Amino acid sequence: MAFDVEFIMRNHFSPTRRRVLMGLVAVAPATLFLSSGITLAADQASVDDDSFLRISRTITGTDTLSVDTSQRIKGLLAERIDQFMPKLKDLADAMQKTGGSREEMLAALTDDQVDFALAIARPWYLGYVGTPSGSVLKDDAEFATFLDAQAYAKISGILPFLTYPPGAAGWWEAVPEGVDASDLPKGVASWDFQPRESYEIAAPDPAWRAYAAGDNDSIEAAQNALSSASNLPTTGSAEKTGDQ
Amino acid sequence: MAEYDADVIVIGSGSLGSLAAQEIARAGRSVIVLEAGPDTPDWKITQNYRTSARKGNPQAPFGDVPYAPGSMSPGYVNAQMEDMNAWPGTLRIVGGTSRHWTAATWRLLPDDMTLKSTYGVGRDWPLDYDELEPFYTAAEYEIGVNGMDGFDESGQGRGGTYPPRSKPFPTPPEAKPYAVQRLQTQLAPLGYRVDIAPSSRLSVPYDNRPACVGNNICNWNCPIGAKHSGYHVVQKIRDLGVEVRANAVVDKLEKGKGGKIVAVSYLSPDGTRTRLTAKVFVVAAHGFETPKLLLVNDIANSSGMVGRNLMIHPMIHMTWLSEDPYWVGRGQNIHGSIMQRRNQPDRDRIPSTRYDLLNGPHTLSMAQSALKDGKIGAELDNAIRENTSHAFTIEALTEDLPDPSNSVEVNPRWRDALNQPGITLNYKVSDYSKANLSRMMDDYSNFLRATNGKRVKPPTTFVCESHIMGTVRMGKDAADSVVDSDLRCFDHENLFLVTTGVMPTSAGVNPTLTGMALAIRAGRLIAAEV
Repeated sequence: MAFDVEFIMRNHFSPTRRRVLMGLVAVAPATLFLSSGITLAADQASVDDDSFLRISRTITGTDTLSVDTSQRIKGLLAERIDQFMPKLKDLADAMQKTGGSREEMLAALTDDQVDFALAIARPWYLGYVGTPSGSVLKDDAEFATFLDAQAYAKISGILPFLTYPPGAAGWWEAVPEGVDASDLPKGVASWDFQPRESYEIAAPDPAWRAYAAGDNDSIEAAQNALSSASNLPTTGSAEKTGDQ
Repeated sequence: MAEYDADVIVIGSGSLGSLAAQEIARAGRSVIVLEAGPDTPDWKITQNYRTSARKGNPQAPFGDVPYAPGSMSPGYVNAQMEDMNAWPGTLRIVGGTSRHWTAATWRLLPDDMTLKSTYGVGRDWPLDYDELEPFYTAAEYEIGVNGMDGFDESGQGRGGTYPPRSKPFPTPPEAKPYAVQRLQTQLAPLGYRVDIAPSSRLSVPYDNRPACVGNNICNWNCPIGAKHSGYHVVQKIRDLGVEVRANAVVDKLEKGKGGKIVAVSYLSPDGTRTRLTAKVFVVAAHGFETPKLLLVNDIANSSGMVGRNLMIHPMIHMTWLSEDPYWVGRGQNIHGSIMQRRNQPDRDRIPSTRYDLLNGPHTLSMAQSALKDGKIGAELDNAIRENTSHAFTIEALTEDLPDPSNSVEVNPRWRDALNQPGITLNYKVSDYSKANLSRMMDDYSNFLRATNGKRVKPPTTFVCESHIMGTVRMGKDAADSVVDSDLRCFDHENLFLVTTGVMPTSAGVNPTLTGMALAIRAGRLIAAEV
């Protein structure tokens, strides 16, 4: 079945409050994905929205994604991805067919389906579509969400959403949840604390230096390369030098 | 009818211009401040940040207006950069570029101001540290710097407070994040000393501003005003009766008899022109717009040094993943630094360098990287958690030397909405700055070794800080300098340039506090004259 994306877009961008509330109630959590009975049809706009939200919940593993954000992201992606609705239906069908857990559904996807799932994941995790510029104010990026952005949300108990600090001045001095700091010396939280009475900077280790400089892809590779070099027969080098 | 529209007209409402205006207004003189950009309140910048797709771009929340483009407005800067593909970000907005500074408030060392006579490179300043010290203190107390006495900021282990201070820091040290606590203990065995980085983010309430609560968008604009910005001074000078006019794009300075400046005129966004007169004029439009305004009007340039000697602090950073979690991002954007490379005996060959322990969260970059690698589902969630928690970034800010060929010029081939020209930047990283590379790599390798870290990529690419120095430099000789030690133009006795562009050398630290000290000093001098 062909999908009229423009029709869907026109009818999706102005959700009534009733529809939003209905969506909040009606959309099942990701764990109930299979039993939800997905149907994608161009003439059933709310069903399409629900399907996108269900898929998004499965991809993100988060049941609390907001309906408003889901509609915005769906609209942004539909503008930027060719054949968005057929691909959405294909992904929904594949997930429904596989069923099971989030990981089982994602693991069963074809490469093309994974690419499309990643395209849906990006705005949900990063909060934008396109490629934002870090300097000159010119790019194709558009805002998708902040408080629904999963990159922040997944760790928000330890790193707060920026501009939403969890406490009064100084809360950052505490040991983060789940971190073992029992080995840290007493008094380390004070700026007066110094681990040593005096400091002399150590000479660099050759392997670590080669790794830092990009000569090798890992410290192990750097150590092996240096070890191999040091095991080369010195006579060869001497002969070569002598030949020159 | 008054003979003048004001005793003093200040062009530019950033921290430096506003602090100079405040000193003049406190002495009972009338002041008008002209700002090219709009008056956008802090709450709006915070909201813009939250709804921005460009959370990695400190310029983005401030927007872009067609009549007052900043250095990151598309096309405004024609960048001719060598060995570096970056240039400083500037804002044209009420409160100025200090609204998106990190708030690092280092003083210069005495040696920083005598680089030529001490190390044989660069230039000496026309004033010394002792002369500037009272004004450093005044600036620190004005903006509420937090810091710790008893620490040698030169990094040479002098065993006490250095450089000398006439008064202690006005506010106590801020809390030390866990990440810094952990890294400090990791780096110490290889000989690196971590100390507090003084800043104007308040550790306690001060001057009607609240203490920092760790919003962690210092570089974008503090949502609660715990970090000083020029916007706070603007509010204070308004209370003193200073008239601050936003959206006033000054493009003309008029010369009169004897080289005096007699008037300025500005364009409003609709093209309306307004002319104002004053006894004294102050151009405080940072290190790009100040020389541009002078060059366009053929002012103050008998030395040929206007726009020359651009210095922007080349910088290379390294991000790595340690075997221990840090959870960088709890607190503020920078808390700690390593100063041992700041003023070493071989500074005649190798520049001053400071390592900053950056404390912005890595969440977004790590999520971007994991998604790019095709991770999805639990694998993606785990990658974000693991990499964000274990990442640390240190940046090496490197001293620049003045070179007349590094410059800011007027670019008449680009025009904004008011038909004003753009600017061209010519900049090449000097051999002196590059002489830092080998030692910096030694240090970065030690950081990796100390933390058993995996680097994200080799630290080999120069970027720069948003520090603009040298472009209207001060000196003792009118033949090679634009202003004297009072920031008065050699060519125009009633024209002062209040900008970090007056700094004849860059040192290895952020220039803003020094600029503030110079601004307060100039403001008091001007107040006594008019």
